Amino acid sequence: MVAPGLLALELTAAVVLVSAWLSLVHRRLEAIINLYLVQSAAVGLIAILVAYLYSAPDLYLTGLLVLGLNAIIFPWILHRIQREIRVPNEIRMFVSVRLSALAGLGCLLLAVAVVGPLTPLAEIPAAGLLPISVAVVLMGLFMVSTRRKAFTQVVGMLVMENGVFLAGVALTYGLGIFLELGVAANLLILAIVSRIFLYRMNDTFDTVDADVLRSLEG
Amino acid sequence: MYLPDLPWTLLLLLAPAAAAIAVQAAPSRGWANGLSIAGAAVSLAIIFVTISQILTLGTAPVPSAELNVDALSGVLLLLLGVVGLAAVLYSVDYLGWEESPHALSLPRLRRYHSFLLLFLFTMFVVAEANDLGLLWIAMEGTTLVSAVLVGFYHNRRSIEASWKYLVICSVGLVFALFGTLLLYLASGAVSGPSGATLEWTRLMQVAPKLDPGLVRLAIVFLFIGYGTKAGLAPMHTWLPDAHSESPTPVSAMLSAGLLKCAIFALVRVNAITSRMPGFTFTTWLFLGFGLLSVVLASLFILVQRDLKRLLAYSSVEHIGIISIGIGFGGVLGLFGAFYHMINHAATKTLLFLTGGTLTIQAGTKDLEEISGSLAAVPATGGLLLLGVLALAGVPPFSIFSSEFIILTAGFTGGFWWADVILLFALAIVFGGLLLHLSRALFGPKPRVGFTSGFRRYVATAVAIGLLLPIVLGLGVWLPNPLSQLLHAAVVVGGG
Repeated sequence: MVAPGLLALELTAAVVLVSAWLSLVHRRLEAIINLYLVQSAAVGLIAILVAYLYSAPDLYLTGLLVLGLNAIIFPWILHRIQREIRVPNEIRMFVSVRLSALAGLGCLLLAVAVVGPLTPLAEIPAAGLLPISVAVVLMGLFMVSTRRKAFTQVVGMLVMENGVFLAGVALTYGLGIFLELGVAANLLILAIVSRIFLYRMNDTFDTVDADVLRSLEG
Repeated sequence: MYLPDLPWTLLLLLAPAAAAIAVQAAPSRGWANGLSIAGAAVSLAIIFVTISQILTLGTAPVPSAELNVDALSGVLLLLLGVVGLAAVLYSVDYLGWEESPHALSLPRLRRYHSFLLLFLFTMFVVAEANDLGLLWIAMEGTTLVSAVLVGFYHNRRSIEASWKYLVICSVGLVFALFGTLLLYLASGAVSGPSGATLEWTRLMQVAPKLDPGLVRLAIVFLFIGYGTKAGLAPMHTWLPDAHSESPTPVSAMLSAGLLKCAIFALVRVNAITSRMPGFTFTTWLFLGFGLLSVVLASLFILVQRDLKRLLAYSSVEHIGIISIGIGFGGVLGLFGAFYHMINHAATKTLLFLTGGTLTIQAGTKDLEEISGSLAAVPATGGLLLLGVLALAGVPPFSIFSSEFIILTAGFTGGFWWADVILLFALAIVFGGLLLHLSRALFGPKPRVGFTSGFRRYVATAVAIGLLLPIVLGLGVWLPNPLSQLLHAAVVVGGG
């Protein structure tokens, strides 16, 4: 019999996983930004749940940080960039949607196979979340490497970070607020620098397709 | 008057940061250049004081437990200090004056110098970090700051290179963060969640009791992450682009400084796992990635025509050699690897400086179009010849000495097969370098072409004067303090 708290935790983690998988198969940019928003909200919620269930008060703050930054500020920045440089809504990728969907499942299987057998995790109540977070990281990586637009690559990176956050809050009860602030600050700067580059790319190439970035090879 | 007792290790972080801010207020090019030089020079001076503290006390005093400045940090700081000052000095001639070949407007010059100093600052934090989380933050910081520097020229190619750099290295660093997290988890499994730690010094204490399965997974993530940043093959794909498209002083900082910072992070991890009984996984990763890098780089060197890309692939090769040395392990292997870090840093900086100057004088980076530089511009050509010989590992240059030590470590450690592969690759690189540069150096002097290049070159001369003793001298004579520092670093690093 699973404790109700843990069940709530695992269901919310399922939301994170499913939203990552859906963003692999969706073809509309707006939908992907919204999926990222949902996913971040779920990660933030998990932090707060863990804080409550396992009395780790630091995590309340972490949860608020994730909700504020990943679920509100980043989606807002992404929507704004999309509007301002008129990124076409259709997503273009190097692989078919079907392959993308299968690859997502492959990521999950790989994660379960690699992380499943680890023994010291047995004592941690929410250990089941580790394979999920590894799977989300891998799906994010797949997104970064198969999407043509620089813009979608940024979303992929953010999805990867969400996967890491999930493991961070569920398994280690946070890394200490000082470090989390440092990581968050880095993320924010990454978003700002990416934004500058997207605008600059748009000015120089009139597009944000990473496709045009092919002159340097070998 | 009461003066707070500021440790030198903290001052070392304050110096470049303060200079980066001060440069923003510089009223003229002269001031901007001067402040930047001052920031880097003061940093180097503080590094010497810090190293003397390390040699007498074992570790330099630090303001908090998040920092730890031991002999390992000392080695990295030394090379960062020298390379940093050389790069800033070269920047002054390269883009700092109105008549410089790549002159920037004053506001852009201020920004350039600020970012260069911030880049130095983030790398100093890497060297001084004890907390592996802080180490990660600093590494990501180096990416963000240097991505701006790589794309500083705002042209198509440099935007492409810096975007590729930013995406690949950030993705890599997500993996490193995950690996760091798993290490934290492993330490918590030893002493209960409340005892979980990311402090390297405490991880070293609990190392023998860490769970091998969990650590193995952590190491895989850390290797992919920091290995990407170090330019280890097959994650090196960002490196040739970033090195060839950035302003040349930045290329030097990337190649000589940044790659070593990433390797340094892996050395810290290696020190932890070397205390775990029967855990040889890290050794094999170092050897595997190292050999792959050396072999791949040697093949790419054969087909390069662009001088800066050639130097970039050579960096992949040398990072591979350093990894192999760490993989061989033991006193000899680690000593060779750390020694090689310093030697490669100085030699590669010298080559970027002279190579960068040559491309300006010749008006092209294409090696097929450059000919007879030794006759046309003897000073640049001569230094380039010297640098290339040093880089190829010809005695009596310092790179020869450290490569020789690493090869010896391989033979005595029973890794003769790895030595055979390494020697084979070194021979290919030697041939490749001579093949590409013999015409550029010795070929017939062209009728048109070479310009005089730099009108101001005092700062460059000082930079080269700073590097030459390391490139040349360290091969013949290893001064006692440096030898002590390297030996102490070997002990810290688990040799």
